[in-house]
Amino acid sequence: MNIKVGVYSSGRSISDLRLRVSIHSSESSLMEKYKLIAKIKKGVFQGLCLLSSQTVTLKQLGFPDNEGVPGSLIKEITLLQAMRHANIIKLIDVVNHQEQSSIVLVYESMETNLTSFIRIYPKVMKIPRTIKELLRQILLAVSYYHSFDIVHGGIKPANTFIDPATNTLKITDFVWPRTLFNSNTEDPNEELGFCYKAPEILVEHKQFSTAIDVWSVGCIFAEMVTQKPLFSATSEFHQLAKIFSIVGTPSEETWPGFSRIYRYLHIYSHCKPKDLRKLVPGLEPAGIDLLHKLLYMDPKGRITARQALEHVYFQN
Amino acid sequence: SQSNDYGCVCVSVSDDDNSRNWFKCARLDAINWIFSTREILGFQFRTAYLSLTYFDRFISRRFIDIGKEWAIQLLCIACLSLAAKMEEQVAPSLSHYKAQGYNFESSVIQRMELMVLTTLEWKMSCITPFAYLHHFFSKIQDECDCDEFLVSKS
Repeated sequence: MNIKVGVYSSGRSISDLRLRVSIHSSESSLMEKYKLIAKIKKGVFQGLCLLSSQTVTLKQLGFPDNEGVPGSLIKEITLLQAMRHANIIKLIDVVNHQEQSSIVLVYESMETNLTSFIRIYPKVMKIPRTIKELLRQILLAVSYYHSFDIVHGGIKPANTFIDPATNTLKITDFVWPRTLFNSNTEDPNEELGFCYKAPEILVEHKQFSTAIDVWSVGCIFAEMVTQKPLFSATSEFHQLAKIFSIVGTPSEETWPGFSRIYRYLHIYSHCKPKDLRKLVPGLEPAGIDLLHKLLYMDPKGRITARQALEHVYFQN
Repeated sequence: SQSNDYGCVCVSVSDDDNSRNWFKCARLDAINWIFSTREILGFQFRTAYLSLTYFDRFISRRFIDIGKEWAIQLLCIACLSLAAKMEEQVAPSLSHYKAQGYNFESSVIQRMELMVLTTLEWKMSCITPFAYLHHFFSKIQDECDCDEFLVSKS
C-alpha cells in the first residue's frame, strides 16, 4: 500500500513524498472483494462478494475531509460489529474506499422490505398469526438495541426487511438514517419517515429516549393490520396535528408537563382520542390493548419493548 | 508472529536481531511519545494505554520496515488520536498532535487512521485494566480518596 506522506524533517522539507510501507497485509481493496451489481439509491449499492458469492448491500459513508475519521462513526461501527441478533441485519465488513474520506459498510442483503412485502403479499399479511410473528421479531430486535442503551431512531417499514420464504424479519442498522454526514441522501421517493416519528421527537428534538422506537413499532403494527400508514400527514408540520387527531391532544392528565415542553400546544384544537378498534379493524382486543400502550403519548408512560414482548397478545 | 486479536505484547515479526533491536527502541520511543503527548493534551491514562494496545495490535499484524521512524511516529499519532476519540469527552483536532521531527498533514494522519481501523477490523473497544481498576477503587474508596492518583500509579 502506498501512503502519501508530507515530511518536513529538521528544516529539510520533503513534502508529498511517496513512500512505500512494506506491510504484511491481508487487506484488499473494495473492488478486489466485491463486485457492484446495481445502484439502489444514492450511496447504496447491491453487490456480490467475490469470495463467498453472497449478495451484499454496500453503503458508502463519506465524512468531512482532513479532520480524521469522526469519533462518532468509529464508536458506532465498533458497536455495530458487536451486535449479533437474528433480527438485525448483519454488518459483514468495513472496507476503505479509494476516496480518502469515505468508507463502505458491507451488509448481508435482503430484498423485500415491509412496504413491498405488504404490496406483494397482501393476503399473507391478512393472517393474524403473520402479523403477530412479525411484530414479535421487530420487538425482539428493538429490545436488543435498547439493552445496549441504543436508540435506533429510524425504525420504519423501509428499514424493516422480510425474507418471504421464512417470514424472518430483520431491521437494518441505525448508522444510516441517523448519520450526520449524509444529510442529503434521503431519497424523495422513499416513504416519509416522519409518519413513524414519536410526538416527543416532533416537538423537541433534543430530548429523546428509547421510547421513540417503541412509538415507531406501534405505527408499524397498525400499518401491518390496515396495510396503510396510521398517521399519514403531508408534512412534518402536519404530523403532530394528525397524531393529536387520533390519539387525542395531550392534557395535563395524559402527559404531565407537556404544555411546558411545547409552547405551541394552544395552536392545536382539542381532540378526543379516537377508537382504535374502528381505525384498526380486524385486530383482536389484546392487540388493540398493546397498540394503545405502544402509542401512549407520554414517553414516560409508554410500554418498553421488553414489556411489550410479555404482553398477553403474544401469549397464544 | 502472533496475530492475536487483543494481543498486547508482541515481538517484531522479523527474525533478524538487528531489526528486532531497532523495533524495540522504536516501540520505547513510541511509548515515551504517547505518554508525553498524553500529558500535553490532558488525556486520561486509559487513553494512552488504549492507544498503546492499538499500536501493538497493529504491529502484530503488520510489519514496518527497519529505519522507518516516520512510520512509527505516524502510527503513534493515529493510535493516540483514535484512542482519544473513543475515550475522551472532547478529542482535539489532528493539528494538535506534534510528532518529533516530522510534520504530518491532517490528510496523511487520516489515511493512517483508516489503515489502523482496517487492520484492527474496527474492533476499537478493548477492555483495558482501567475498567476493572475503577471498579476496585470505587469498592475501597472509603479508605482511599486519591483514586486518580492510584490509577495512574498502577
